[in-house]
Amino acid sequence: MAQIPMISKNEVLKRTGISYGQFYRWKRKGLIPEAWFNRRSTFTGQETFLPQEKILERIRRINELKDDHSLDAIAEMLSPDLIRRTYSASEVEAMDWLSTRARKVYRGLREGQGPYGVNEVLFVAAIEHLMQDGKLTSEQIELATRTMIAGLEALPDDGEDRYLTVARRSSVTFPVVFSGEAYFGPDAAVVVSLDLNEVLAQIKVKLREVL
Amino acid sequence: MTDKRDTKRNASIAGSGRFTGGVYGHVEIAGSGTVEGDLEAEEIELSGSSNLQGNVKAKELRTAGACSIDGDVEIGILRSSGSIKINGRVQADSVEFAGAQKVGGSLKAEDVVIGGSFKSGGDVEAERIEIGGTFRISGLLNADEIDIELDGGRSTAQEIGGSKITVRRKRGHLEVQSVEGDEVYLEATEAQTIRGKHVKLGEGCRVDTVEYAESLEVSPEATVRSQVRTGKDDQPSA
Repeated sequence: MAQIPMISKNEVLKRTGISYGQFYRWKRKGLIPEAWFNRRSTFTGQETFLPQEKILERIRRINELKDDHSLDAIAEMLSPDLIRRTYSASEVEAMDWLSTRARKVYRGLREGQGPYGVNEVLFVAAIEHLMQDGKLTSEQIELATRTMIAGLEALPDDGEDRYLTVARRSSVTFPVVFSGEAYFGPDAAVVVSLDLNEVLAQIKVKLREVL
Repeated sequence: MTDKRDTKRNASIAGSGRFTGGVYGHVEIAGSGTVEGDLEAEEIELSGSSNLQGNVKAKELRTAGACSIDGDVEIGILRSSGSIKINGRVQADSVEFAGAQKVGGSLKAEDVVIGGSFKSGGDVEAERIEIGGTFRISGLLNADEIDIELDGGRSTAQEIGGSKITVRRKRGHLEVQSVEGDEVYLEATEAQTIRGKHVKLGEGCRVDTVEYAESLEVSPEATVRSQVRTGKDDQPSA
């Protein structure tokens, strides 16, 4: 898989207009994960690089949230493992801010009653994303969801990066859940890919509003 | 298993002794004492020489004399004079160190005041930090307000970052790879890179590159190899 495009911290500040004080404060508060920091030597000396797409998106979200929420609250929304509350399957089914179609698919797949962690809400939101995307058939969405349910149980909860990707090789479509980077082979194409932590961050904002 | 609502036991050593960790109310060691295992208490007071062999959690920890802690420390108020050596990480609300201090891991607190000599094996993070003396920080010193008075020989940090950074010299000098802040004032600092909005370099600074956004003042007693003004034409996106 190709190298992820990186951006220097300096460039991040220039592009977003945030101050050094803000940047370092957000880092202290855990809003910018330690794992994103990559120190390198350049011709001008030491410089820190961050994954471009992630850091710009993260700063956009913080800016969006910071007028209405404390930094600690934002940290909780953005970090993958901080909401420890549990949910029953019926509670998830009743979340009417998630689409009815997605909840229906979820209901068809989940036999247990819980209690589950916040991932349970993530499943429904992911289904919703896959449906909206429109590239998968309903059977493929079901298979992807089953893979995600089993896959996320196997991955650590606080994983920095978690993805649900549906790839296609010749005429076979297959879902994969992974953390970090994955390579699907020379003639495989990615049909759809969800950054699950990003979906989770959106859910947390939503949960905070509704609970 | 134990019901923590019960009145908590107190523990004290006067003279020489040892006890096993656990949950306590008040812990006091005067003389020489050892605590085996993790210790959790409301308040811990140590004077003389003591060794806590596990992790320590308390609302308040006060030490005088020589104290060593083998594990991680989670404290509301941490005050230490004399010498303290903590092998693990420190997480606290407020830290006041006077004397000689060594932290093996990172130090995270709201307010930190350090006098004497300080060493940390990891990052140091605080909202406000004041240092008077010498320090060796093998990581990033990150605080909103950083106020340093160099007093001694050589001080070092890998990186320093924050909003307002002030380094003054009484004696000695600072070596650091990079300093980044909105308002930066430095004396006696050797650095590869200084980045800031407003940068002032005083006496004794030796800097490879300064990148500044709005203003730069360099004392005739400072040397700067190259300076770049940045950000002038950039339009911050909304």
